[in-house]
Amino acid sequence: MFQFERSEREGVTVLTLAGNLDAATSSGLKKEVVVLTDSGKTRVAVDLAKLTLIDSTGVGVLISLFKRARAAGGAVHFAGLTAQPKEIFRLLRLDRSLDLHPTLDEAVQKLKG
Amino acid sequence: MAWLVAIDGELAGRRFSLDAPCLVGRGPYNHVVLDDTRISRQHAKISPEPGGHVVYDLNSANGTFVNEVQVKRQKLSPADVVRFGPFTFRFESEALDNTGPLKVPKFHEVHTQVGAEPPSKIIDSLDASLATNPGVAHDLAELEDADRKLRTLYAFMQSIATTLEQGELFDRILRNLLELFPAAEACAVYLREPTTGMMEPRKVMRRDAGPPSLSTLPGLFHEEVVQKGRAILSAPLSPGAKGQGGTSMHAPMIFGNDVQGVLHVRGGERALISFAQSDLDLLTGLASQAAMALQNARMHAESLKQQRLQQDLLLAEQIQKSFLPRQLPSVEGIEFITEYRPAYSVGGDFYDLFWLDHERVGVFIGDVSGKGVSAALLMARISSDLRVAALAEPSPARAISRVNQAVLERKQHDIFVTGIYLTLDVKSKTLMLANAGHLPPFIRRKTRGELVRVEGGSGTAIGIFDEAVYEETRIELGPGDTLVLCTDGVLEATDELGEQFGFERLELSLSSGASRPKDVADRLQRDLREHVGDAPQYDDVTLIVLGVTGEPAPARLRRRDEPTQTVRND
Repeated sequence: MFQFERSEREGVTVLTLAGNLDAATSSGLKKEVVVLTDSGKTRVAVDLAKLTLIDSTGVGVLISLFKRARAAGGAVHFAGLTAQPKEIFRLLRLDRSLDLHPTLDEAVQKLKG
Repeated sequence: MAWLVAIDGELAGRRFSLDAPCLVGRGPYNHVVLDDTRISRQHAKISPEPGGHVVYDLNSANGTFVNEVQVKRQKLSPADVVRFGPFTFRFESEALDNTGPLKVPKFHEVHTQVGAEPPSKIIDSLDASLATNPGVAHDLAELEDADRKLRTLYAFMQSIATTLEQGELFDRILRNLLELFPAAEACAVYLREPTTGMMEPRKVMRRDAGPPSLSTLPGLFHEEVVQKGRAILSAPLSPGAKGQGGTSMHAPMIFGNDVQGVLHVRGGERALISFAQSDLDLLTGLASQAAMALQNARMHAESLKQQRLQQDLLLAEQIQKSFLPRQLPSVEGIEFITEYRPAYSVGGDFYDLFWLDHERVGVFIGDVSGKGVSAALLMARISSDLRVAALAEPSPARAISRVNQAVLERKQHDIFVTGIYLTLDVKSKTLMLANAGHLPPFIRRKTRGELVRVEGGSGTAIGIFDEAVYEETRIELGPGDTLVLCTDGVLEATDELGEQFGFERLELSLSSGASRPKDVADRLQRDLREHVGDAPQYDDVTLIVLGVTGEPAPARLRRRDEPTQTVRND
């Protein structure tokens, strides 16, 4: 089961993910990433607090959001990583290069400024 | 009731019913088949019309004669002698009872047998019954009618069953319809559009060279034909001709219980009547044959598609395999073991081992995110990028950095690669290793009997950041030391309860038992198999085990020597 929700906060696009993001569930988010970046919404805070599991395809979708937004002059910050996703981010050494924040508030504040 | 009765030759005595339009010609689809070179494929037609029967010559090469006068169109009177080439017939007619219903040949009853028995057998039995009951003229006419319809259906089936390509199939169906129904001016195949459920015209054919337009009859078309699967004959233009036929026909193409399409045949625009009920019966039979042929063509197209997909996979697999080293470098004092087990025929894992110069071997293990053909093809490209980078850059960190740039330039946004690249100095047994977001390597140390997870030299996965910085770490291997590189398919190998193999089991497996590369690799494979059991393999599993052969002799000798020396000193 995977769900995502898109909202706006102080001029920042917030993407809230919940459940398992893997090869079987990622196609919807994949499309949303293209829609978002094509429509110029390239300052994005991704809330991962409710994300329970992620696989390499799932990471690929988040990476594509990051790469597309940056190519368009925007930025993507991630917030609230827990458990298995946190371990995967660490393993891929994404924790060093991506902007990770403990809470969504912090991510939004950074992107706003 | 009217007949054409053959009065000479082989056919002498045969009676052909003329209650429905009757085609005469050399082609097998004609109602009266005259097998002689002087007869045109489609020679003539005799139609029941409100004023009586009319014979039309269909531009035949040798002409149609009524009472030995060549005619183009001629109304027939009882006892007229009609001649086509060498064949002579007598026209017989009983006064038409205009108040009664038009006589409809009992075509359906015969047709229902087609599915149960091969048409040839039915035709045989018809011939047999013709022979045994020659006296009953009425039955004979009906049987002959059924017979010629069966033959027509059979010829139609043979004509369309030999193509499996939809465009060609529609073409043949429509050509056949125009030949079978000389009064038809245009015909069309409609198919149900899967997305909308609507009947959409797929192919339209006109007898003349006019534009391929065809008016449909929306109300009738949908309700009767599409919903109820019923063939319909539209009303004639002239109210006086009611009950004798119509100007256009629609018949459903039914397969399974679904109306998959519709065959539409339309007569001339000013014709009062183009088709009789028996024409509609014939079209109904043709439509069911067409539905079967269409189903065959569709199944064939589907299997072709599957085959093509299969071929893509096979090609990707071959490309991928061609990038895996066929032969491992042979190095004195070093033993290599590799295992490669893709979850599907093509995987995202890969590895490479190659000589960089006389003293150094390059070793790479990698995992492209995603699966299937695109991952396999990216993998193949990266492995060539890596070889180029490895030869240009002695430093593993800088080589990986180059590969990162090369991958980013391809702009495949949702794909990234994790990997480890190391160089091994074969004399000093020294490794320089850079890790790009990959599962860390493990070293089984012979001397201390411990398992070490190598956390150094780590950087971000390849293909994500332009500015990614890679580091490298230096590792010295001693005799009996074993280095293990694997992909995360090992960690993620899942048992039937969904439990992953994980770090703990991996480390336990690597640290127990004998430490030679073969022992380590075999044990890990066995432990993985035991853990996974009957659960399907989800991810690729790739393993490289590299070991320095020989006992760590100097260390042991020193230990043995010491007590001896102590004894001496005492």
